[in-house]
Amino acid sequence: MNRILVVEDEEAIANLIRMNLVGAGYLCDIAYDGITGADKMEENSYDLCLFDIMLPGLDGYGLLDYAKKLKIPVIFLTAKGELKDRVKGLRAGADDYITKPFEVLELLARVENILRRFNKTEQIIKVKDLTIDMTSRTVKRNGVEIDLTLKEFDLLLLFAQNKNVALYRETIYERVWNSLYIGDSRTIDLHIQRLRKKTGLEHDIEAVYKVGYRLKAEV
Amino acid sequence: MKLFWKLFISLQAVILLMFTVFGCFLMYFSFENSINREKERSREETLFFQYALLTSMESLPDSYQAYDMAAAEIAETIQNNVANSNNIVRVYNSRRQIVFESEPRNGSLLESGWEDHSGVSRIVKQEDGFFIETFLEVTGKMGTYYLEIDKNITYIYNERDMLLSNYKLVLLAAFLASMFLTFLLSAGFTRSIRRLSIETRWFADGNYKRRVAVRGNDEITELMKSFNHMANELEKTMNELEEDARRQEDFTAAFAHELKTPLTSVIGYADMLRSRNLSDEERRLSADYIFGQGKRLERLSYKLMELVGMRTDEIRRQEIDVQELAEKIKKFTVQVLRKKKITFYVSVAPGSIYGDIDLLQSLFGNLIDNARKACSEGGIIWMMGEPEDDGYRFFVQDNGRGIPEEEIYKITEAFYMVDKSRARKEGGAGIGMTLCKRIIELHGADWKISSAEGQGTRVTVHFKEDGDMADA
Repeated sequence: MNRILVVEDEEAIANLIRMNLVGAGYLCDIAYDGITGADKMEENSYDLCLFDIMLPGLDGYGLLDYAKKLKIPVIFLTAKGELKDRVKGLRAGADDYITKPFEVLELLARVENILRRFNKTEQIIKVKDLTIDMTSRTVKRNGVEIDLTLKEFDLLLLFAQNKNVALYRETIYERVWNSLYIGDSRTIDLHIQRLRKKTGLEHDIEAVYKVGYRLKAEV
Repeated sequence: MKLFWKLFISLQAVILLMFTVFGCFLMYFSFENSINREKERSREETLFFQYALLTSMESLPDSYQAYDMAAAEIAETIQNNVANSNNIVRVYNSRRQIVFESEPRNGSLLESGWEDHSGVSRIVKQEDGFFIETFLEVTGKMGTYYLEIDKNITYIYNERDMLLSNYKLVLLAAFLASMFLTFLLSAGFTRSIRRLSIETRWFADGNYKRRVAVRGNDEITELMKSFNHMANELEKTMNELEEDARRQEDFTAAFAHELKTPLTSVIGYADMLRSRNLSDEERRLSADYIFGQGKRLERLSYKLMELVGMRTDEIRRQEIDVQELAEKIKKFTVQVLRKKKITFYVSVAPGSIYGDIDLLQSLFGNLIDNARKACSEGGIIWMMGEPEDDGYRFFVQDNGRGIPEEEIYKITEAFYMVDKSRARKEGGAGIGMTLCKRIIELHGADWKISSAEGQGTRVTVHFKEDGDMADA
């Protein structure tokens, strides 16, 4: 399991991130100021760090230097959303940059993305009798490969990475089709139908009334 | 046309004109003078000749008949021995025949009917030069003779011509010299103007630090000084505007930050509530956070509204009894303070100040609130007041944690918090001191914050007696 350090002085936001990371299957430590954050980096080994920039004690840029020495990838998490701030953060060596307010799904996707880039994540996700290989982008059911289209694979991956989360139609559309949802639910419903049939997840991908769909599974 | 050329050409023209006019006058007068001198001399010489001729002729014996021959001989003797031999002398008899001629010449005064003009002289031009011809009648017992003396004055004309051609050379030299001088002069005059114009262009192109080096003490220097003055004022105004813009930008950025932080929590927890199956404990915690952060946004908006409202509204001025004011403040702060077991001492000497009662309550409320946040449980806050010669002075003091020295000047900046996480816990939005500063400005009062870390903070507010308010 990947271990993630969150340094954020806002208790509410720190807890929000922790709850979601734990929910997605990560181990998560929290520090409320820069000094404690640096101490924790020394004590434990982390696969990824999330830093706020404005921190008491030691700020995000200072923490970034520590993390770089220890070769830990870093995502900045800050309300400073101006272009020059983002450029400054990325120039300083951050691997990604998330501006507040952010959506939890976006945070998780970026975390997942960075971990994969640094080969720190499991490249294989298991859902019931399915094995999803993210490197080769193939899905096997009991050892037999299932033929999925590009969108169907992305859809399955989204559900697999967000088990037990009710995914709103607009969220699904934005994540898989990468464009703004304009109320056309037919496309999503059609793809879900085919995905269910191909993967045999007829009863596991369940419709949530007025919301969208959810993949029910034991974590 | 450029000022340089205008100056150059007009100077040049004036100099040339003056040289020419004065030179001509000078030459004319000197020429006239020479001519007159020669005329005078010629007349005198003629008179002398006439006298000599007349006396010699008169002394001839009465029996003497060959007067013409005698006249010729006498004239020759006079011409050769006594008179100016450079002159040409002719003597005519009454029949207008030449009886003596010192050298042959064309033309005769008698021929042109000059016998009536005895004693007249004129200037004539002959092939061999200019002459003054003077004509005189000589009458005695020997009858009437006519005497004509021609004086060669060609040298005057030659002199004049030479002078004129020399003067032309002098004029040319003077012209060249003055051209050089006026060029330098014009360049000198226009140099400062050119420098000023170059600096002006630099300035206009955005080099606001440029100034003109001021030298000398003429009108252009004055212009340069004015330019520098204008540049200084302009730069000052621009800096002020930039400073304003920067402050506004900082405020906006800080405000956006203050807004985004609670929004992140509200959106995040709400999203969790709607899309996950949370445990009861998690659900309660999420709702709690949403509520808390929502409250924070509410506080922020109230404080902001106060700040914005104060910027536009005029304040109502009235005489306020300071003891009544202290009593009111005590009443609405006492409960919060009691919750944290803080002792609040009020000791206000009688007196009055001018101001807006609501704003002043807000001012002291904020100051006391800050003191409360700085205090740990069981701390002490003092509010003291004493009249002064020129007004009234308040102190709000606590024995809390104090403010680090290097941060004191920053605490009136909007959204600045010395200890962010603590301030949040105490429900601060970071606008309190900005509000206080504004209220104090509106009352034309001044304040001072002194603090020692770990020992406490003291805020001194001084109200002026006349209650003159800033019109801001």
